[in-house]
Amino acid sequence: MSATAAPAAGPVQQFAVLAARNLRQARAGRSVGLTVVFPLAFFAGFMVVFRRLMADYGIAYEQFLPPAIVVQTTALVAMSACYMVAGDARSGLIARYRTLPMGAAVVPLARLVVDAARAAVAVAVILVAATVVGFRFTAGAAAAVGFVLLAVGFAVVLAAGCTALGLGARDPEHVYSALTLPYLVLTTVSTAFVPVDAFPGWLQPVVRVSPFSAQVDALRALSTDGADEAVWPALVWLLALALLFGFAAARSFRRSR
Amino acid sequence: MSTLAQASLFAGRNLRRFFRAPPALVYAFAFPVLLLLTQYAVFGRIVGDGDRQHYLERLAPLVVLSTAAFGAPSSAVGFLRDLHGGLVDRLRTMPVRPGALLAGRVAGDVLRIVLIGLLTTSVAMLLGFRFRQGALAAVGFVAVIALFGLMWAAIALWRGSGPGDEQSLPPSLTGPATLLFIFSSGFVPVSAFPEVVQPVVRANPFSVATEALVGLSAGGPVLVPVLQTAAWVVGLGGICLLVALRRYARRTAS
Repeated sequence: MSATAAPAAGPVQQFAVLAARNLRQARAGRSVGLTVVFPLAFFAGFMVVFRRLMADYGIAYEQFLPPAIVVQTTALVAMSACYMVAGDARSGLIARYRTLPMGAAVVPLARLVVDAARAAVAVAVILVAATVVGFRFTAGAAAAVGFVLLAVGFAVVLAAGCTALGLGARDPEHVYSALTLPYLVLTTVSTAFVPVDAFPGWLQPVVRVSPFSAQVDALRALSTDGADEAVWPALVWLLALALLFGFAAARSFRRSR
Repeated sequence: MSTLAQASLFAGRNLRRFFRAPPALVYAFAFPVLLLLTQYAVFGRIVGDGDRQHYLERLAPLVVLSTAAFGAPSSAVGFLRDLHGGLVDRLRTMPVRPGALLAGRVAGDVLRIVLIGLLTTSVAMLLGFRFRQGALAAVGFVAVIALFGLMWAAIALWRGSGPGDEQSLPPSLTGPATLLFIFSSGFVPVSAFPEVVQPVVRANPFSVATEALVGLSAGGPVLVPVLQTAAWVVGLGGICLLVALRRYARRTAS
Protein backbone atom coordinates (compact mmCIF):
# COMPACT_ATOMS: atom_id res chain seq x y z
CA MET A 1 0.00 0.00 0.00
CA SER A 2 1.62 3.17 -1.12
CA ALA A 3 0.83 6.16 1.01
CA THR A 4 0.32 9.12 -1.23
CA ALA A 5 0.25 12.22 0.90
CA ALA A 6 -2.40 14.71 -0.07
CA PRO A 7 -0.81 17.81 -1.51
CA ALA A 8 -0.38 20.40 1.24
CA ALA A 9 -3.06 23.08 1.10
CA GLY A 10 -1.76 26.50 0.16
CA PRO A 11 -2.28 29.49 2.41
CA VAL A 12 -5.23 30.71 0.35
CA GLN A 13 -6.97 27.38 0.70
CA GLN A 14 -6.18 27.29 4.44
CA PHE A 15 -7.63 30.74 4.80
CA ALA A 16 -10.78 29.77 2.88
CA VAL A 17 -11.38 26.73 5.08
CA LEU A 18 -10.96 28.69 8.32
CA ALA A 19 -13.01 31.66 7.13
CA ALA A 20 -15.85 29.37 6.05
CA ARG A 21 -15.72 27.68 9.43
CA ASN A 22 -15.88 31.04 11.24
CA LEU A 23 -18.87 32.06 9.14
CA ARG A 24 -20.68 28.85 10.02
CA GLN A 25 -19.87 29.48 13.69
CA ALA A 26 -21.33 32.98 13.46
CA ARG A 27 -24.46 31.70 11.77
CA ALA A 28 -24.99 28.93 14.30
CA GLY A 29 -24.43 31.12 17.34
CA ARG A 30 -26.42 34.03 18.57
CA SER A 31 -24.49 36.63 16.61
CA VAL A 32 -27.07 37.16 13.85
CA GLY A 33 -29.71 38.09 16.39
CA LEU A 34 -27.25 40.25 18.26
CA THR A 35 -25.69 42.08 15.33
CA VAL A 36 -28.69 42.35 12.98
CA VAL A 37 -32.00 41.89 14.79
CA PHE A 38 -31.10 43.75 17.99
CA PRO A 39 -29.74 46.90 16.26
CA LEU A 40 -32.82 47.00 14.00
CA ALA A 41 -35.18 46.74 16.97
CA PHE A 42 -33.12 49.31 18.85
CA PHE A 43 -33.16 51.66 15.85
CA ALA A 44 -36.93 51.36 15.45
CA GLY A 45 -37.45 51.87 19.18
CA PHE A 46 -35.25 54.96 19.37
CA MET A 47 -36.88 56.48 16.28
CA VAL A 48 -40.33 56.06 17.82
CA VAL A 49 -39.26 57.28 21.25
CA PHE A 50 -37.06 60.25 20.36
CA ARG A 51 -38.17 61.54 16.96
CA ARG A 52 -40.59 64.05 18.43
CA LEU A 53 -38.39 65.13 21.35
CA MET A 54 -35.40 65.62 19.04
CA ALA A 55 -37.46 67.54 16.51
CA ASP A 56 -38.38 69.92 19.35
CA TYR A 57 -34.64 70.21 20.01
CA GLY A 58 -34.04 71.07 16.37
CA ILE A 59 -32.61 67.74 15.18
CA ALA A 60 -33.92 65.56 12.34
CA TYR A 61 -33.43 62.24 14.09
CA GLU A 62 -33.89 60.10 10.94
CA GLN A 63 -30.67 61.69 9.62
CA PHE A 64 -28.91 61.98 13.00
CA LEU A 65 -29.47 58.50 14.42
CA PRO A 66 -28.40 55.98 11.70
CA PRO A 67 -24.64 56.70 12.01
CA ALA A 68 -24.99 56.09 15.76
CA ILE A 69 -26.75 52.77 15.19
CA VAL A 70 -24.01 51.84 12.70
CA VAL A 71 -21.31 52.50 15.32
CA GLN A 72 -23.30 50.62 17.96
CA THR A 73 -23.63 47.69 15.57
CA THR A 74 -19.90 47.60 14.77
CA ALA A 75 -19.23 47.47 18.53
CA LEU A 76 -21.63 44.53 18.84
CA VAL A 77 -19.91 42.73 15.95
CA ALA A 78 -16.59 43.15 17.77
CA MET A 79 -18.06 41.92 21.06
CA SER A 80 -19.51 38.80 19.47
CA ALA A 81 -16.08 38.16 17.90
CA CYS A 82 -14.64 38.22 21.41
CA TYR A 83 -17.26 35.73 22.53
CA MET A 84 -16.48 33.35 19.66
CA VAL A 85 -12.70 33.64 20.07
CA ALA A 86 -12.98 32.99 23.80
CA GLY A 87 -15.02 29.89 23.02
CA ASP A 88 -12.39 28.69 20.54
CA ALA A 89 -9.60 29.34 23.04
CA ARG A 90 -11.42 27.40 25.75
CA SER A 91 -12.38 24.47 23.56
CA GLY A 92 -8.76 24.03 22.50
CA LEU A 93 -9.39 24.79 18.84
CA ILE A 94 -6.76 27.57 18.75
CA ALA A 95 -4.22 25.24 20.34
CA ARG A 96 -5.14 22.59 17.76
CA TYR A 97 -4.59 25.09 14.94
CA ARG A 98 -1.05 25.62 16.21
CA THR A 99 -0.15 21.98 15.68
CA LEU A 100 -1.11 22.21 12.01
CA PRO A 101 1.30 23.31 9.27
CA MET A 102 -0.38 26.66 8.68
CA GLY A 103 0.95 30.13 8.06
CA ALA A 104 1.05 32.21 11.25
CA ALA A 105 -1.23 34.87 9.83
CA VAL A 106 -3.95 32.53 8.59
CA VAL A 107 -5.87 32.17 11.86
CA PRO A 108 -6.09 35.88 12.79
CA LEU A 109 -6.73 36.86 9.16
CA ALA A 110 -9.62 34.40 8.84
CA ARG A 111 -11.07 35.90 12.02
CA LEU A 112 -10.80 39.54 10.98
CA VAL A 113 -11.96 39.07 7.39
CA VAL A 114 -15.06 37.26 8.60
CA ASP A 115 -15.68 40.02 11.16
CA ALA A 116 -15.38 42.60 8.38
CA ALA A 117 -17.92 40.67 6.31
CA ARG A 118 -20.31 40.41 9.28
CA ALA A 119 -19.94 44.13 9.92
CA ALA A 120 -20.59 44.92 6.25
CA VAL A 121 -23.80 42.88 6.27
CA ALA A 122 -24.99 44.45 9.52
CA VAL A 123 -24.21 47.98 8.26
CA ALA A 124 -26.01 47.31 4.98
CA VAL A 125 -29.13 46.13 6.82
CA ILE A 126 -29.14 49.23 9.03
CA LEU A 127 -28.69 51.52 6.03
CA VAL A 128 -31.62 49.93 4.20
CA ALA A 129 -33.84 50.34 7.28
CA ALA A 130 -32.60 53.92 7.73
CA THR A 131 -33.40 54.76 4.11
CA VAL A 132 -36.96 53.53 4.66
CA VAL A 133 -37.51 56.07 7.47
CA GLY A 134 -35.94 58.96 5.55
CA PHE A 135 -32.16 58.78 5.94
CA ARG A 136 -30.29 59.97 2.83
CA PHE A 137 -26.68 60.17 1.66
CA THR A 138 -26.58 63.80 0.61
CA ALA A 139 -22.82 64.09 0.18
CA GLY A 140 -22.38 61.97 -2.92
CA ALA A 141 -21.38 58.44 -3.79
CA ALA A 142 -17.70 58.73 -2.87
CA ALA A 143 -18.58 59.91 0.64
CA ALA A 144 -21.10 57.07 0.94
CA VAL A 145 -18.39 54.55 0.05
CA GLY A 146 -16.14 56.24 2.60
CA PHE A 147 -18.94 55.86 5.16
CA VAL A 148 -19.12 52.10 4.69
CA LEU A 149 -15.33 51.66 4.61
CA LEU A 150 -14.86 53.69 7.78
CA ALA A 151 -17.63 51.78 9.57
CA VAL A 152 -16.22 48.38 8.58
CA GLY A 153 -12.67 49.53 9.42
CA PHE A 154 -13.80 50.57 12.89
CA ALA A 155 -15.48 47.18 13.37
CA VAL A 156 -12.29 45.34 12.39
CA VAL A 157 -10.11 47.43 14.71
CA LEU A 158 -12.51 46.94 17.64
CA ALA A 159 -12.70 43.24 16.81
CA ALA A 160 -8.91 43.01 16.98
CA GLY A 161 -9.03 44.53 20.47
CA CYS A 162 -11.83 42.21 21.54
CA THR A 163 -9.96 39.24 20.06
CA ALA A 164 -6.98 40.09 22.24
CA LEU A 165 -9.27 39.99 25.28
CA GLY A 166 -11.07 36.86 24.15
CA LEU A 167 -7.85 34.90 23.62
CA GLY A 168 -6.81 35.56 27.19
CA ALA A 169 -10.23 34.81 28.67
CA ARG A 170 -11.18 31.49 30.17
CA ASP A 171 -14.94 32.01 30.20
CA PRO A 172 -16.71 33.51 27.16
CA GLU A 173 -19.79 34.47 29.21
CA HIS A 174 -17.77 36.45 31.75
CA VAL A 175 -15.69 38.37 29.26
CA TYR A 176 -18.84 39.12 27.27
CA SER A 177 -20.70 40.51 30.31
CA ALA A 178 -17.60 42.46 31.28
CA LEU A 179 -17.52 44.05 27.83
CA THR A 180 -21.13 45.24 28.03
CA LEU A 181 -20.16 47.79 30.69
CA PRO A 182 -17.59 49.72 28.57
CA TYR A 183 -19.94 49.23 25.62
CA LEU A 184 -22.76 50.94 27.51
CA VAL A 185 -20.58 53.83 28.66
CA LEU A 186 -18.69 54.37 25.39
CA THR A 187 -21.76 54.30 23.15
CA THR A 188 -23.88 56.55 25.36
CA VAL A 189 -21.29 59.04 26.62
CA SER A 190 -20.62 60.18 23.07
CA THR A 191 -22.35 62.24 20.41
CA ALA A 192 -24.15 59.09 19.22
CA PHE A 193 -27.63 59.78 20.58
CA VAL A 194 -27.64 63.46 21.50
CA PRO A 195 -25.42 66.41 20.49
CA VAL A 196 -22.60 67.39 22.82
CA ASP A 197 -24.42 70.46 24.19
CA ALA A 198 -27.10 68.24 25.75
CA PHE A 199 -24.55 66.81 28.21
CA PRO A 200 -23.75 68.40 31.59
CA GLY A 201 -20.98 70.98 31.15
CA TRP A 202 -18.34 69.04 33.09
CA LEU A 203 -18.90 65.95 30.95
CA GLN A 204 -18.69 67.71 27.59
CA PRO A 205 -14.86 67.54 27.30
CA VAL A 206 -15.05 63.77 27.85
CA VAL A 207 -17.73 63.46 25.18
CA ARG A 208 -15.62 65.51 22.76
CA VAL A 209 -12.48 63.34 23.01
CA SER A 210 -14.30 60.00 22.90
CA PRO A 211 -13.26 57.79 19.95
CA PHE A 212 -16.92 56.86 19.58
CA SER A 213 -17.83 60.54 19.15
CA ALA A 214 -15.07 60.90 16.56
CA GLN A 215 -16.40 57.90 14.67
CA VAL A 216 -20.06 59.01 14.80
CA ASP A 217 -19.19 62.60 13.82
CA ALA A 218 -17.13 61.37 10.86
CA LEU A 219 -19.95 59.09 9.68
CA ARG A 220 -22.40 61.99 9.98
CA ALA A 221 -20.09 64.17 7.92
CA LEU A 222 -19.73 61.47 5.26
CA SER A 223 -23.48 60.93 5.04
CA THR A 224 -24.66 64.52 5.26
CA ASP A 225 -22.12 67.33 4.85
CA GLY A 226 -19.42 65.59 2.84
CA ALA A 227 -15.88 64.68 3.90
CA ASP A 228 -14.73 67.65 5.96
CA GLU A 229 -12.41 68.15 8.94
CA ALA A 230 -14.75 65.99 11.08
CA VAL A 231 -13.30 62.90 9.39
CA TRP A 232 -9.71 63.46 10.56
CA PRO A 233 -10.17 62.66 14.30
CA ALA A 234 -11.84 59.39 13.32
CA LEU A 235 -8.97 58.45 11.03
CA VAL A 236 -6.38 59.31 13.69
CA TRP A 237 -8.27 57.24 16.27
CA LEU A 238 -8.64 54.40 13.78
CA LEU A 239 -4.91 54.33 13.10
CA ALA A 240 -3.96 54.61 16.77
CA LEU A 241 -6.40 51.90 17.85
CA ALA A 242 -5.35 49.68 14.93
CA LEU A 243 -1.74 49.84 16.10
CA LEU A 244 -2.63 49.32 19.75
CA PHE A 245 -5.17 46.54 19.29
CA GLY A 246 -3.24 44.90 16.46
CA PHE A 247 -0.19 44.68 18.71
CA ALA A 248 -2.29 43.41 21.64
CA ALA A 249 -4.01 40.79 19.48
CA ALA A 250 -0.74 39.55 18.01
CA ARG A 251 0.75 39.32 21.49
CA SER A 252 -2.09 37.37 23.05
CA PHE A 253 -2.24 35.13 20.01
CA ARG A 254 1.44 34.24 20.42
CA ARG A 255 0.92 33.64 24.12
CA SER A 256 -2.23 31.57 23.92
CA ARG A 257 -0.80 28.13 23.90
CA MET B 1 -37.95 20.12 58.12
CA SER B 2 -40.80 22.35 57.04
CA THR B 3 -41.29 23.47 53.45
CA LEU B 4 -40.46 26.99 54.54
CA ALA B 5 -37.14 25.94 56.06
CA GLN B 6 -36.31 23.97 52.94
CA ALA B 7 -37.21 26.89 50.69
CA SER B 8 -35.07 29.30 52.69
CA LEU B 9 -32.18 26.84 52.45
CA PHE B 10 -32.47 26.92 48.66
CA ALA B 11 -32.83 30.71 48.68
CA GLY B 12 -29.67 30.97 50.77
CA ARG B 13 -27.84 28.65 48.40
CA ASN B 14 -28.81 30.73 45.38
CA LEU B 15 -27.79 33.98 47.07
CA ARG B 16 -24.44 32.49 48.15
CA ARG B 17 -23.80 31.32 44.62
CA PHE B 18 -24.64 34.82 43.37
CA PHE B 19 -22.27 36.50 45.85
CA ARG B 20 -19.46 34.03 45.18
CA ALA B 21 -19.15 34.68 41.44
CA PRO B 22 -17.21 37.97 41.41
CA PRO B 23 -17.48 38.82 37.68
CA ALA B 24 -21.23 38.28 37.62
CA LEU B 25 -21.57 40.10 40.92
CA VAL B 26 -19.72 43.21 39.73
CA TYR B 27 -21.80 43.16 36.57
CA ALA B 28 -25.08 42.81 38.49
CA PHE B 29 -24.34 45.85 40.65
CA ALA B 30 -22.41 47.97 38.16
CA PHE B 31 -24.81 47.67 35.24
CA PRO B 32 -27.83 49.44 36.79
CA VAL B 33 -25.62 52.13 38.33
CA LEU B 34 -23.92 52.83 34.99
CA LEU B 35 -27.28 52.69 33.21
CA LEU B 36 -28.66 55.31 35.60
CA LEU B 37 -25.62 57.60 35.31
CA THR B 38 -25.37 57.41 31.51
CA GLN B 39 -29.08 57.87 30.76
CA TYR B 40 -29.21 60.74 33.26
CA ALA B 41 -26.26 62.46 31.56
CA VAL B 42 -27.32 61.74 27.99
CA PHE B 43 -31.07 62.36 28.03
CA GLY B 44 -31.57 64.49 31.16
CA ARG B 45 -31.50 67.78 29.35
CA ILE B 46 -33.58 66.87 26.32
CA VAL B 47 -36.18 64.65 28.01
CA GLY B 48 -36.38 66.65 31.24
CA ASP B 49 -37.00 69.77 29.15
CA GLY B 50 -33.90 71.44 30.54
CA ASP B 51 -34.41 70.13 34.09
CA ARG B 52 -32.31 67.04 34.85
CA GLN B 53 -33.78 66.57 38.34
CA HIS B 54 -37.23 66.37 36.84
CA TYR B 55 -36.02 63.54 34.59
CA LEU B 56 -34.31 61.80 37.52
CA GLU B 57 -37.63 61.54 39.41
CA ARG B 58 -38.87 59.14 36.71
CA LEU B 59 -35.63 57.64 35.41
CA ALA B 60 -34.39 56.42 38.82
CA PRO B 61 -37.53 54.31 39.51
CA LEU B 62 -37.35 52.86 35.99
CA VAL B 63 -33.69 51.87 36.33
CA VAL B 64 -34.34 50.41 39.79
CA LEU B 65 -37.12 48.28 38.27
CA SER B 66 -34.98 47.25 35.31
CA THR B 67 -32.60 45.46 37.68
CA ALA B 68 -35.39 42.89 38.11
CA ALA B 69 -35.59 42.32 34.36
CA PHE B 70 -31.88 42.34 33.62
CA GLY B 71 -31.19 39.83 36.40
CA ALA B 72 -33.71 37.36 34.98
CA PRO B 73 -31.39 35.79 32.35
CA SER B 74 -28.81 34.58 34.85
CA SER B 75 -31.58 33.38 37.12
CA ALA B 76 -33.20 31.45 34.26
CA VAL B 77 -29.85 29.87 33.38
CA GLY B 78 -29.37 28.96 37.04
CA PHE B 79 -32.70 27.16 37.12
CA LEU B 80 -31.91 25.43 33.83
CA ARG B 81 -28.70 24.11 35.38
CA ASP B 82 -30.61 22.93 38.47
CA LEU B 83 -33.02 21.02 36.25
CA HIS B 84 -30.50 19.43 33.91
CA GLY B 85 -27.31 19.39 35.96
CA GLY B 86 -28.40 16.66 38.33
CA LEU B 87 -29.58 18.69 41.31
CA VAL B 88 -33.23 17.87 40.78
CA ASP B 89 -32.47 14.17 40.37
CA ARG B 90 -30.47 14.20 43.58
CA LEU B 91 -33.29 15.94 45.42
CA ARG B 92 -35.75 13.25 44.38
CA THR B 93 -33.84 10.76 46.53
CA MET B 94 -34.24 13.03 49.54
CA PRO B 95 -37.28 14.01 51.61
CA VAL B 96 -37.53 17.42 49.95
CA ARG B 97 -41.00 18.80 49.44
CA PRO B 98 -42.01 19.55 45.88
CA GLY B 99 -42.01 23.27 45.35
CA ALA B 100 -39.32 24.05 47.92
CA LEU B 101 -36.72 24.46 45.17
CA LEU B 102 -38.97 26.81 43.19
CA ALA B 103 -40.00 28.80 46.26
CA GLY B 104 -36.32 29.14 47.17
CA ARG B 105 -35.49 30.39 43.67
CA VAL B 106 -38.22 33.01 43.82
CA ALA B 107 -37.29 34.15 47.33
CA GLY B 108 -33.59 34.36 46.45
CA ASP B 109 -34.34 36.31 43.26
CA VAL B 110 -36.59 38.80 45.03
CA LEU B 111 -34.02 39.37 47.77
CA ARG B 112 -31.29 39.93 45.19
CA ILE B 113 -33.48 42.32 43.19
CA VAL B 114 -34.36 44.35 46.30
CA LEU B 115 -30.68 44.54 47.31
CA ILE B 116 -29.56 45.81 43.90
CA GLY B 117 -32.59 48.11 43.80
CA LEU B 118 -31.62 49.65 47.14
CA LEU B 119 -28.04 50.23 45.94
CA THR B 120 -29.27 51.85 42.73
CA THR B 121 -31.69 54.02 44.71
CA SER B 122 -28.80 55.17 46.93
CA VAL B 123 -26.79 56.21 43.88
CA ALA B 124 -29.85 58.06 42.57
CA MET B 125 -30.08 59.88 45.92
CA LEU B 126 -26.48 61.04 45.47
CA LEU B 127 -27.63 62.62 42.20
CA GLY B 128 -30.55 64.31 43.96
CA PHE B 129 -33.37 61.75 43.97
CA ARG B 130 -35.57 62.25 47.08
CA PHE B 131 -38.40 60.54 49.00
CA ARG B 132 -40.88 63.36 49.56
CA GLN B 133 -43.85 61.30 50.77
CA GLY B 134 -42.59 60.11 54.14
CA ALA B 135 -41.18 56.91 55.59
CA LEU B 136 -44.25 54.76 55.00
CA ALA B 137 -44.19 55.60 51.29
CA ALA B 138 -40.49 54.70 51.20
CA VAL B 139 -41.37 51.27 52.62
CA GLY B 140 -44.06 50.98 49.98
CA PHE B 141 -41.40 51.87 47.37
CA VAL B 142 -39.35 48.85 48.40
CA ALA B 143 -42.48 46.68 48.51
CA VAL B 144 -43.33 47.59 44.89
CA ILE B 145 -39.76 46.68 43.84
CA ALA B 146 -40.21 43.30 45.54
CA LEU B 147 -43.61 42.83 43.89
CA PHE B 148 -42.17 43.64 40.47
CA GLY B 149 -39.22 41.34 41.22
CA LEU B 150 -41.69 38.55 41.95
CA MET B 151 -43.00 38.78 38.39
CA TRP B 152 -39.53 38.57 36.87
CA ALA B 153 -38.58 35.69 39.17
CA ALA B 154 -41.62 33.81 37.82
CA ILE B 155 -40.65 34.71 34.23
CA ALA B 156 -37.14 33.38 34.89
CA LEU B 157 -38.61 30.06 36.17
CA TRP B 158 -40.80 29.83 33.08
CA ARG B 159 -37.89 30.45 30.68
CA GLY B 160 -35.46 28.28 32.64
CA SER B 161 -37.82 25.30 32.66
CA GLY B 162 -38.70 25.54 28.98
CA PRO B 163 -36.93 24.68 25.75
CA GLY B 164 -33.76 26.59 25.03
CA ASP B 165 -30.16 26.30 26.15
CA GLU B 166 -27.71 28.47 28.06
CA GLN B 167 -26.76 30.30 24.86
CA SER B 168 -30.21 31.21 23.64
CA LEU B 169 -31.88 31.98 26.99
CA PRO B 170 -30.22 35.30 27.92
CA PRO B 171 -30.88 37.20 24.66
CA SER B 172 -34.47 35.93 24.58
CA LEU B 173 -35.01 37.79 27.87
CA THR B 174 -32.74 40.85 27.54
CA GLY B 175 -34.08 41.71 24.07
CA PRO B 176 -37.73 42.14 25.10
CA ALA B 177 -36.66 43.68 28.43
CA THR B 178 -34.65 46.35 26.59
CA LEU B 179 -37.61 47.19 24.37
CA LEU B 180 -39.96 47.40 27.37
CA PHE B 181 -37.42 49.69 29.07
CA ILE B 182 -37.30 52.05 26.06
CA PHE B 183 -41.07 52.01 25.52
CA SER B 184 -41.89 53.06 29.07
CA SER B 185 -43.13 56.25 30.64
CA GLY B 186 -40.03 56.37 32.83
CA PHE B 187 -37.68 56.70 29.86
CA VAL B 188 -39.53 59.54 28.12
CA PRO B 189 -42.94 61.06 28.90
CA VAL B 190 -45.93 59.32 27.32
CA SER B 191 -46.81 62.52 25.42
CA ALA B 192 -43.55 62.31 23.43
CA PHE B 193 -44.60 59.00 21.83
CA PRO B 194 -46.70 58.86 18.64
CA GLU B 195 -50.40 58.66 19.53
CA VAL B 196 -50.80 55.09 18.24
CA VAL B 197 -48.10 53.79 20.60
CA GLN B 198 -49.27 55.70 23.67
CA PRO B 199 -51.77 53.08 24.93
CA VAL B 200 -49.04 50.42 24.67
CA VAL B 201 -46.64 52.64 26.58
CA ARG B 202 -49.24 53.26 29.29
CA ALA B 203 -49.97 49.53 29.68
CA ASN B 204 -46.29 48.51 29.73
CA PRO B 205 -45.55 46.83 33.10
CA PHE B 206 -42.45 49.02 33.42
CA SER B 207 -44.62 52.13 33.01
CA VAL B 208 -47.25 51.22 35.61
CA ALA B 209 -44.62 50.13 38.14
CA THR B 210 -42.61 53.29 37.45
CA GLU B 211 -45.73 55.42 38.05
CA ALA B 212 -46.26 53.58 41.34
CA LEU B 213 -42.67 54.26 42.44
CA VAL B 214 -42.87 57.91 41.33
CA GLY B 215 -46.07 58.30 43.38
CA LEU B 216 -44.32 56.81 46.41
CA SER B 217 -41.20 59.01 46.08
CA ALA B 218 -41.67 62.34 44.29
CA GLY B 219 -45.45 62.25 44.60
CA GLY B 220 -48.46 61.53 42.41
CA PRO B 221 -51.14 58.85 42.05
CA VAL B 222 -50.31 55.67 43.96
CA LEU B 223 -53.38 53.43 44.26
CA VAL B 224 -54.17 52.94 40.57
CA PRO B 225 -50.59 52.27 39.39
CA VAL B 226 -49.99 49.91 42.33
CA LEU B 227 -53.15 47.96 41.43
CA GLN B 228 -52.07 47.89 37.77
CA THR B 229 -48.65 46.60 38.81
CA ALA B 230 -50.30 43.96 40.98
CA ALA B 231 -52.48 42.94 38.04
CA TRP B 232 -49.38 42.39 35.89
CA VAL B 233 -47.67 40.43 38.66
CA VAL B 234 -50.67 38.22 39.35
CA GLY B 235 -51.57 37.81 35.68
CA LEU B 236 -48.26 37.35 33.87
CA GLY B 237 -46.30 36.16 36.90
CA GLY B 238 -49.07 33.73 37.83
CA ILE B 239 -49.22 32.18 34.37
CA CYS B 240 -45.44 31.83 34.19
CA LEU B 241 -45.36 30.25 37.63
CA LEU B 242 -48.13 27.77 36.80
CA VAL B 243 -46.41 26.70 33.59
CA ALA B 244 -43.09 26.36 35.42
CA LEU B 245 -44.74 24.31 38.17
CA ARG B 246 -46.30 21.96 35.63
CA ARG B 247 -43.01 21.51 33.79
CA TYR B 248 -41.22 20.93 37.08
CA ALA B 249 -43.78 18.36 38.16
CA ARG B 250 -43.45 16.56 34.84
CA ARG B 251 -39.66 16.66 35.09
CA THR B 252 -39.65 15.18 38.59
CA ALA B 253 -42.36 12.60 37.86
CA SER B 254 -40.67 10.90 34.93
